[in-house]
Amino acid sequence: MIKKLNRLGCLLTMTIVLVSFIDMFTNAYAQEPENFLEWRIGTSKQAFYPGEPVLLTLNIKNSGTREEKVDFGVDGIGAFLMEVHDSNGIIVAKGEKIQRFGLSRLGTLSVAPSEIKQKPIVLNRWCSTLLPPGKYHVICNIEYLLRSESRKKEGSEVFQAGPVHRKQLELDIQIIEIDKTKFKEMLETLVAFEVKPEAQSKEEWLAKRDIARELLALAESELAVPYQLKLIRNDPYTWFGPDAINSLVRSGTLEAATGLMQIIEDPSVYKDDVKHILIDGVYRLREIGKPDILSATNEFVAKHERPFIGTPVD
Amino acid sequence: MKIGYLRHKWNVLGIIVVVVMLDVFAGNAMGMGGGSPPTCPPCYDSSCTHYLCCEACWGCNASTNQCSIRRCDQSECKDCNYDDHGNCTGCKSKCNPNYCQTCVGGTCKVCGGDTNQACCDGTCYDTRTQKCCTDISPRYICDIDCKSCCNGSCCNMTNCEICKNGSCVRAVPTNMHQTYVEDQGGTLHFEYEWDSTTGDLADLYNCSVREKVDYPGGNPYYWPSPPWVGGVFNPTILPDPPIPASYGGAVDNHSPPAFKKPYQNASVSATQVYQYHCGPSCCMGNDDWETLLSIGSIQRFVTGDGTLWRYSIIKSGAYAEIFPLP
Repeated sequence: MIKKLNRLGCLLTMTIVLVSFIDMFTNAYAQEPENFLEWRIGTSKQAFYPGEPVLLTLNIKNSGTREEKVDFGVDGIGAFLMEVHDSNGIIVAKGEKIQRFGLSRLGTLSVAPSEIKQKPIVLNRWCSTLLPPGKYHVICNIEYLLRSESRKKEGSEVFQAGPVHRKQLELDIQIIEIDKTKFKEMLETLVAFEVKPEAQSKEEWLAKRDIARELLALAESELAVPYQLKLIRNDPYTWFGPDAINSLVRSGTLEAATGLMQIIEDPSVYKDDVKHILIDGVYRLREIGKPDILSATNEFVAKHERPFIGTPVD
Repeated sequence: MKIGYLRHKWNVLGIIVVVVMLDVFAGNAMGMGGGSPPTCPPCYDSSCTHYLCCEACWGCNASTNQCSIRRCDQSECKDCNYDDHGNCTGCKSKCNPNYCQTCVGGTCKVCGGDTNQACCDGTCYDTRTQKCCTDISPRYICDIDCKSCCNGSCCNMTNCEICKNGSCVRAVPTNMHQTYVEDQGGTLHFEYEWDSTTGDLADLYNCSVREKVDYPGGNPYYWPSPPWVGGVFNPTILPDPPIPASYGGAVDNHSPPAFKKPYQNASVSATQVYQYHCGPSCCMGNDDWETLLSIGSIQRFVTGDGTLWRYSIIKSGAYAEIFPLP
């Protein structure tokens, strides 16, 4: 009888221990799925020229047992805020959250268990790298959602978003004296992605071309102007067209103004739905007030009224 | 004496040889064309292939436009017919049909000498409206306007056809469908995906997708104020530029307009449609945007009883709200 009681006690204890373990695991997972994600940030190189586009790569490892879908917000960039500090810890560049209206690219990244997924982002979208040579510290703040934490509303197909998680990632970069030849070589390398290599699938090529186009569009240098104009001429509908136009405007060059005017007035360039953005670019270049740009664009603005570019809500 | 006789004999012999040679040479010339070498007809190259008469010009001197010394072999001229003046009047068998040559006025001329025509594997085509496709052999002809060469066929680009694996297939976005909807604190977050009619999204590299939202009233449309403030383009067409269709999916967030106190009951119903456009030029006209997915209404409300106010939005049966409004 005593033996039987002992056995029962033993079984009960084991069951309790097992149940506790299972409960502990499930609770841990349910409450803190973000704990199963390991984040790293890096660049392919350490030193950059002033104005060079800096490609940051987020590496996200899922050490959990189920797939996680990370929501990086609108266009896959809405979740990011950036800061660049100099060697004295002073903020020299700061980029707030980016807003986009209407349809935008899907911003989620699925990471399967034990998988490492990468997400590329370009620092220059938030912070200029037109900085004096020296060492800099980049702080990347991410405010993201996890799809696993979204809960279906009762009696509805709609999910209620889970809590916003915050992550801070840091890395060091160095800005070095510009070498114009090498800077141009870098731009040429990016332009080369416009041509599909024979061996590459169209899908793979388009994905790589997108990153190259984004880098090219966000390059901050007069040296990039002809390449950015070429990008717009080749594909006025490119998703990165507005970025390229912003960079052209920042270049404040006559070359940018004449290049844009040529594209606008070239009937062989198909651009009906984006023409207004290009025309606005010429007007923005005029706002810089450089006499050579003003005189070169006087006739153009007499012909083309400034389009209204608003901030819409749909 | 002997030496003198022999020298004289050699001299005579030399003269005879020269005379004979001249005679032979002249005889040939006289026999074929008569007299001095004739003026070359338009010369095309250094062979006889394209000459009016092969005997008239065998190696034309471009600077003088005169026939060179060398003459054609009689056998090469066997099909030429001559008039009384020795001019060639027929050259049928000398004209190569593979090069679309026909005999016109005794000359083999490509496509009858029409300068607006060219030869495409034995068929003449109008260079102003047609092109010769060289992607396969034998070559073939497609229209320049809105047709593309594809393995022996001409893809109809006005139907948005592309050449895929040797066949003409229509490449446009299709089957746009909602994959997810989330309430992000009063913002309705929709995710959509679509396919390509070819089965490969990468084929949609020439296509874009956008949304068009029509509001009741003029442009700009001003929100009822209060409870809202500000206005929007009417119709609102976003994004700008439209999203590349090759992405295969998109997010659409419907955020609340800016609020203005004192709140009061109000509602706005807009109509949304997702559209696609494929270009450039032939596939669709500049302003032709086809419906990809018709959503219907997006309704926004502010409701309340004077103390507690609620903002709500409904689209495709999905609902999000802010309650209470601050």
